[in-house]
Amino acid sequence: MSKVNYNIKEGLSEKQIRQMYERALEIIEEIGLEVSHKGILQTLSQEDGVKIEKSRVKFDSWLVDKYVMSQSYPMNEFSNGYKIVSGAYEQNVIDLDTGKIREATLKDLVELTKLADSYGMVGSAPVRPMDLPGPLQEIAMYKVSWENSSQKAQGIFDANPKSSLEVANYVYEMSKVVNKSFSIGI
Amino acid sequence: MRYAAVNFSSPESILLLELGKEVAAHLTGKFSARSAMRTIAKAPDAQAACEKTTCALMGALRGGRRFMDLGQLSIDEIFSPEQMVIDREILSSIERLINGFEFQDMENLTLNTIKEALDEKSFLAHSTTVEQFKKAYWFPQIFDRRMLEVWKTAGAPGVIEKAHDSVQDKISNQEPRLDELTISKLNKVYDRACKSGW
Repeated sequence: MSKVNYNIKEGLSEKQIRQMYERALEIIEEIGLEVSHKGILQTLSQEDGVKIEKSRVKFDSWLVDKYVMSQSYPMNEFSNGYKIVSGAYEQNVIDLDTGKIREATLKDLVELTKLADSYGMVGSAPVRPMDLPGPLQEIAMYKVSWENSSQKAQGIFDANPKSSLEVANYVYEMSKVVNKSFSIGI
Repeated sequence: MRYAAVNFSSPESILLLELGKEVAAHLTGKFSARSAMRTIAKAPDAQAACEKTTCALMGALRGGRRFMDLGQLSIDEIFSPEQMVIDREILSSIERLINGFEFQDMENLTLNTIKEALDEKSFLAHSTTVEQFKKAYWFPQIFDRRMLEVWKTAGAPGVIEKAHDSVQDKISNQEPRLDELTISKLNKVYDRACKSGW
């Protein structure tokens, strides 16, 4: 007995990938990036391979290449079979009763987290509870996720926002209560 | 260009997503199994079904196994619980497709089964048919496979209607994941946050 599967293999050639990468390095070295934060400019100015012209920062190719090659990705997390990620703290929801688009609430967050959990879905909170004050929305997304899901919100698919140190502190404190991982996120 | 909108669900965007994964794999030596089910449609409709299936199928055929964006509409502006159930059904169908099939070596295959079924005047009731049917076929949860008259007799249920019922059922039957003591500890932290003057 043998297994038969279909897939798509054709794509870029090695030469095309190399060309794209080399041109990207050239853009970063010759055109550079705009950086407006004075503290970051100060830090970068002390690095070898970095040139600063006013707010334009140019990086030597060897430096970018060195950091690209040293990247590592936690690919082993969720490595078994298919995994599905639902929602990314959407601000609006389609109301279950009326079918109309409206702002999401704390009640929606609880119900939709339960729904995602019933399917074993991972990732961030499905919706942002817009009926709460801003910073509390972010804290509630973690609280509700941890109360109602075994897999949300943690790991590499968790991107719930933490927009201030104060919010991050509360989330960190809650993560200790439920023994879940904590990261600053993206 | 006309609306200056970000469209992550166009064919061009799907191609760019795969291109990015290919370049990253080349540079890091690790293939990202991340894929997507994106749409810019505003409701669970034909556009959403087409864009999400195109995106997910391309990703899956290229080796993607982690699918993002289920339930999301208008890229990530709207969440639809019914769409999430439909997305899961689409993905389940794609998973079956990607799993392919077992190819049995035919050299030693006998014609006995065919002869037995012919004697019984039915292939449907033969034990091997039932056994292989259960192994080989994917069984949808909300997509309908009945012929017209049978479907009409059952009340002619639509896919969105079935997804809606499934959502209500799942939400009402899902229990919290934490015990009361842990929830109470979480509440204490949350209550302090509520009193922070926000």
